[in-house]
Amino acid sequence: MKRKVLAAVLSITLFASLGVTGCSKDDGADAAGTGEITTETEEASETETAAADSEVKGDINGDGIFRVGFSELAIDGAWRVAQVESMESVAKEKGYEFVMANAELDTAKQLSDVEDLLAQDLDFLFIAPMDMEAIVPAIEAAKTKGVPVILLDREAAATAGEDYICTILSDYLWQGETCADWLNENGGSDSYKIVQITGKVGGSDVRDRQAGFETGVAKYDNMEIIATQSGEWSRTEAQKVMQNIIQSTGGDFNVVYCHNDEMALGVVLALKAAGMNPGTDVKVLAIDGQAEAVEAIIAGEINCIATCNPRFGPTAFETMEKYLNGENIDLIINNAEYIIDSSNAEEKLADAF
Amino acid sequence: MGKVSIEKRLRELFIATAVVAMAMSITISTIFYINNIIKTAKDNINATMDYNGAEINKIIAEGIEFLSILENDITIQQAIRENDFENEKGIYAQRISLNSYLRILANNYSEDMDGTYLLLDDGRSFKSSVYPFRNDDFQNKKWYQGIISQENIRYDFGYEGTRVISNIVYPCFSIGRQIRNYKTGEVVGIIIIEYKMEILKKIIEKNSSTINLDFSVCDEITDRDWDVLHNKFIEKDNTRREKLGIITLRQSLENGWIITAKSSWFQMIKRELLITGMIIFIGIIIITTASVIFAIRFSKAITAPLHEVLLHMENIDQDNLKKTIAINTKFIEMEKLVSGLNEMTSQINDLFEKGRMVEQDMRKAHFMALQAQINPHFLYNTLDHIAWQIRVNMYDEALASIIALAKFFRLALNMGEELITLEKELEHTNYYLQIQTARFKDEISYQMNMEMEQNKLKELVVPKFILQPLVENSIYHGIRDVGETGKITVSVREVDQYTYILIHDDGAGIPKEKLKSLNESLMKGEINNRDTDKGYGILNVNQRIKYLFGMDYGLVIESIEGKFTTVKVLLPLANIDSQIVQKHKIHK
Repeated sequence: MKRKVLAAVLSITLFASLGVTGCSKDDGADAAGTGEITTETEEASETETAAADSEVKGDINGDGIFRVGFSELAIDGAWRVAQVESMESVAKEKGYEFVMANAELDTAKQLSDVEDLLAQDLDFLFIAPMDMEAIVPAIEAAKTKGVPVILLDREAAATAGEDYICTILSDYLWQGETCADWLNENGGSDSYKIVQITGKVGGSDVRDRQAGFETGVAKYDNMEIIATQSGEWSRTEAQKVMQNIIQSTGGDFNVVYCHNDEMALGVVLALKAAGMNPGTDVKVLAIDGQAEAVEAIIAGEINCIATCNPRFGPTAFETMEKYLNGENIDLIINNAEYIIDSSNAEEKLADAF
Repeated sequence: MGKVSIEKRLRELFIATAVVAMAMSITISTIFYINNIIKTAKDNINATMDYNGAEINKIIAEGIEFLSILENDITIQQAIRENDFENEKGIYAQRISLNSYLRILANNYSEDMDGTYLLLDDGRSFKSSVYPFRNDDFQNKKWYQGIISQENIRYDFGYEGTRVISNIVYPCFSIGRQIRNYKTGEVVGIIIIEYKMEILKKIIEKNSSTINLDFSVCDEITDRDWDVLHNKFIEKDNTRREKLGIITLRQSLENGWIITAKSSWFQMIKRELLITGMIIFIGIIIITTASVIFAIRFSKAITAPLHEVLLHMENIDQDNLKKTIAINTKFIEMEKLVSGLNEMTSQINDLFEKGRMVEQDMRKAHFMALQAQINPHFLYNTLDHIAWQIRVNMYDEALASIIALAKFFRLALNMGEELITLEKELEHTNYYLQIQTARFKDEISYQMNMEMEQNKLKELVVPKFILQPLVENSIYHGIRDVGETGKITVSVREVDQYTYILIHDDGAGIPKEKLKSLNESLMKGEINNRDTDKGYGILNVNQRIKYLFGMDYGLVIESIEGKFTTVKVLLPLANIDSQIVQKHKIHK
């Protein structure tokens, strides 16, 4: 009798304790994270023909596959899409394996992206850095692993030729200065009160587009920058910023210079909303050259675009091959750029991205 | 079947009972527990699924609402109608402003949408996205024709890459609907909202962080499911059979898609099972140990008194029947057993006592009867003989006879004592022989040979009347039955540790068969022998000697028929204390 009671009590105790522990569940967080690391493996036949000729130059781990990594800071607009597509298509054309990571405008994520890429037995790495300073540990990590690095479209606070091979980028200073020169030649006004909408502060592009433009403005006595604000590279943000500037200045300006044409499109919207006529009352100068903006030149709402070619692929892989062949590489390589205005807009629309 | 001890059997039974009870309770509680876990898991999954389903439904509902906002929007309706442009400038200007307008609308409405597009049959296209359009004609696409050809909202589930814009490939789904020119009522194009499939993952991660679940979404048309957590397409699992250890639950979304949640309850409760196993293991050890200890104690509690009782019973004999046993036990039955045993032994003791008394009484009665039997007969004969002596004027002889008779009776009375010294017994016998030889003067002679020290004869105490009956037998059955003269010799001697008394007569002797039977009876100490009629006295004497001195002593008869008979009386040299005690006992 006693024993049965004991057994019953014990079993109840067991059950109760289990019931309690049963409530706590494992937090099975998915370690995969949200990072998009896409691997594009070419058709086997294509790579085989390339690899069959001779052993692949610069193949670090000797696995017969030349794997190129690309850490992109973001794919947040047409320019980036064009850049990634260009890199990818050239890599495919040349028979390299191409691995890409998207940092989604997050400096910390870009560091871990580079780590992830390096873990995939890379033979070469392209980085489009989000932040000049923050990217340095990633560059050092690649150097430690012996993976050569070429930076795309932005510089970094490390030593070119030592920590990394070189930077391929548009001549941002040229872009800024050319905008000022174009204004001087085609502005058709005696004096220019200029509003500058910059990109997100922190990149060498913002720094140089501002510096180049200010250098150009300094050359002409009739030009004055009355306001400089960041539009964060974004159309909607630029639109808001522009609205504020219009209100604070009472519309007392006749030029808006934007660090990219996406922001210029936002500015156009804001100006129209305020009853000002972009393209005539207010000249709109921009950089980049995406199709929508070129269309806006045709529509007469943007006046001038200094191109910033996103199609890095040919130059990037050419430079990489030069490096692998042991040729001398310039520390800074500039893409070829040009000016689009109403005179050549329809012609250049086909090249726009 | 072999016999086993109660203690062992009890122990085994108790342990077995405990183990069975334990096994049953563990099994039942485990089954109950696992069932409960599965049920809880199902409830949890259902709740999570309800929540996720609601969230996805909400996104879809928002999309539908946004579509209706767009198709009723004045700016958009105006843009649809304003399609007569002189040159491209107008087209581009319209596109720039409407793109920005769409973007602002979309951004303000919801962050979940990847892009909103207005695509018109006349080739105009407007987008909210920052990404450029694809360089192909959307009018020829199947999806476009599918949307424009039906009045209802059309959901396109899970395709790789966006349909309208050029972007890095990511999987999308879309909600689309035809749009009419409200003025003419004519269908002019479509509005379509694209979503990244990834937003499903975000919803589910937000709600399912505590449960290890595999969610997938599918519509019934496509042959692939969308694995939400891993953000990829998987082969559609059409076998809806529930696999062992996996819970699968399905729920329909409002737009007809199906959300599926799979969870391995085994994975979920793996850790709990491990803990359970350990607790059960510890429990088994504790319960087993407790059972064994309890079983041993319990069985001992029952068997220990039993053992005491057994020991008590083994020690019981005639001498300690009065001893009772006292046992400390809490079992009523045991108490009854012990008190019963005590009662029984005391009753047996009483019976023994009673028996002993009866036996003593019987023996006394025998003795008295014997005395009573002998005496009147002997007295009559002797007195008759004395009368004859007087009648024939043999006064001296008569006087001697009377004196001898008187002394004979004085010894026979002997103060009522049953025991008597051997000296007096011999004296008594001598008087008897004297009387008898006086009576049968011509027929009998006798001789007594005292070969032992007088002291020893004085000290040895023997039962009264052990020699007189033997001598009487020799006279009547040995000599007088033959009808010739005979001689009786009584010898007393010391041989080894025995006192030997031999009563020898040269009379008729005893037939061989009878002698053998008689000697056997004597050896066994029997009182009755059917084969002998004159043996009563002999067996009685023998039995009394054995009773006093033990089975080593008693009578042995040697005889050859027609020649002689010798009765050997074996007695000890001296009495031991108990015989003196016995003497007093008998006296009492």
